[in-house]
Amino acid sequence: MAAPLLERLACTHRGYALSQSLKQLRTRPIASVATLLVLALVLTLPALILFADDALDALVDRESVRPSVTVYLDPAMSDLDGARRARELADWSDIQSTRYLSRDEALATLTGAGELGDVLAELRDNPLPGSIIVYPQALPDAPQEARLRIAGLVDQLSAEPGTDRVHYDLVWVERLAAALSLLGIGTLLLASFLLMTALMVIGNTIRLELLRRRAEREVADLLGANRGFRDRPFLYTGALFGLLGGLMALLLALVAWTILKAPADELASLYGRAAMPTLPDPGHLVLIPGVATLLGLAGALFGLYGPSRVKVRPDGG
Amino acid sequence: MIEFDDVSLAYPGQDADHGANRGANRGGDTRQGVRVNARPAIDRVSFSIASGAFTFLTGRSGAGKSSLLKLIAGLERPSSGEIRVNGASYSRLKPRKLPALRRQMGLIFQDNQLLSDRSVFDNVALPLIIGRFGHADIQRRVPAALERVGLAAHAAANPTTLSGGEQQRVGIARALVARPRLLLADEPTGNLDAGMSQEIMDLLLDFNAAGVTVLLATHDTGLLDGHDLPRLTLADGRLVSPDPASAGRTARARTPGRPARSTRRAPARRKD
Repeated sequence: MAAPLLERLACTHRGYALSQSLKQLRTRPIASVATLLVLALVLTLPALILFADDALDALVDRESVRPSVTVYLDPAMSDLDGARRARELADWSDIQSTRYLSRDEALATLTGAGELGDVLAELRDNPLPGSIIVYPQALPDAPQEARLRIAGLVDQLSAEPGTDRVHYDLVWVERLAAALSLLGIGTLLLASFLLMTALMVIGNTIRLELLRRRAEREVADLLGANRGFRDRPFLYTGALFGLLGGLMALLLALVAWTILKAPADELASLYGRAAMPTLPDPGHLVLIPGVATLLGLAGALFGLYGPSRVKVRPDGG
Repeated sequence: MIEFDDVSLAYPGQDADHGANRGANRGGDTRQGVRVNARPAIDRVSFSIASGAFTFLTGRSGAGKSSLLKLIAGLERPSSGEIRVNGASYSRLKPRKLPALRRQMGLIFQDNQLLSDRSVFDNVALPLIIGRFGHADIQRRVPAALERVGLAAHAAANPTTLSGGEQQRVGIARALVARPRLLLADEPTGNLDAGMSQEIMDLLLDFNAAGVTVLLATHDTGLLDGHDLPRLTLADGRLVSPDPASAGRTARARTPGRPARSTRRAPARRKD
């Protein structure tokens, strides 16, 4: 049943293109596997960067990296009043959002934080005040302007009734943000270079295929095939290389994830953080082969229509 | 069915206007340091071939036979003049329409242009796949075409395992499987011995008898012997005959600029 179905499929333009693409992979297994391995290795690092992002989400509290101002309230203020004050502050035009941290929450957080927690556990009463974490609106890129904006906000918050003191460690946050920004740009560049490499690998593979199968394209042209019929097998070959390379890269990245999970979990537990999830974000698992397939298609288009394209040169004898 | 009206074809480096200044520029000249070949590949050729005709296109190697066939097949665009095939004017035809026109023709080549990575069956089936014939049609037509050229037993074979004559017959089956109205054959017997050549010739005559218009380019004068069929003869890209004996039957040369006329041969019954 399957054979006649494939036979029927191969009689359609798209089916013919697919069967020719699969045939090329099958008839040149060593060359195909070598190309797929190169693609898989090139795509594995961007996949790992994506997975690392998932892991960081679990391991790092990203809120702590956002610029924020901590308003410590008068210890006599009740949690109810503290929460109301937080809601009032959230309405300010230069404040994006606020989060009220009650005295109990503050105690619970510190109790789990090593030696200081041990000391706090010995006390009969909770000495910690309630506090409001204030997240300002987006700050200007220029550090001087950002500093002025924050200083103004700190002054305003300090003048509010019920405020005991206001804390903001601008330098630390700036350094951390700059370091993370640098790391982000670096990984983005690295991933871009690797994706470009994958594009070139597929483009070159398709170009070689075009040279190798030039006669086939010429004959098809002589028999009245349009450009779509002639080029489609190569587009499918590019997409297939991308898909299979992406799946292999996904597999390699998942192996790396599994290997790294145990030591990462151990490190996270030392900082009181949650363990890495068993699997990365499912969306990312689909995204990697999907992007790789598009990359394969783009590489094939580059090989077919790029500056070094191989033209059909009909030779009628 | 095929009409050429004052058609010229000049490849890069050739002089398309040479025909108008033939006397003054016979040996070629040098313009701005670049050697210009004075002679275009096809030089102001006019003729018409009626539907259902069998016409020889003769001339020595380099006379322009292949170029003329390429023009008919739409593989080259004329530098000047007008070509009409099956009523379609090439000068008004958009390039993207050419493949469809080419699908109405069968093309046979000296080197048969078979694909060595697939079976005889798959080679013959290719025009049908291109022409979007269905699976059932392909399963019916390909064996019939192979049967017709005496190669039914070789359907699963790779073309490279066949003899030269058999390969050429596969090429003929491929050219005719979609039942084109026009068959263009470029030196189809060029690599074959006399016996094989006659075999191929008989096949082409059979197809012509079934109503297919055949234009056969050859420089093999032996092939012409014994066949009282019209001829177009090219020399240096120019049409030097039909001679009076053949003009008036099927292929006829025309004075450039005059309207095309064709004499239709008695139509033969078309068979599958």
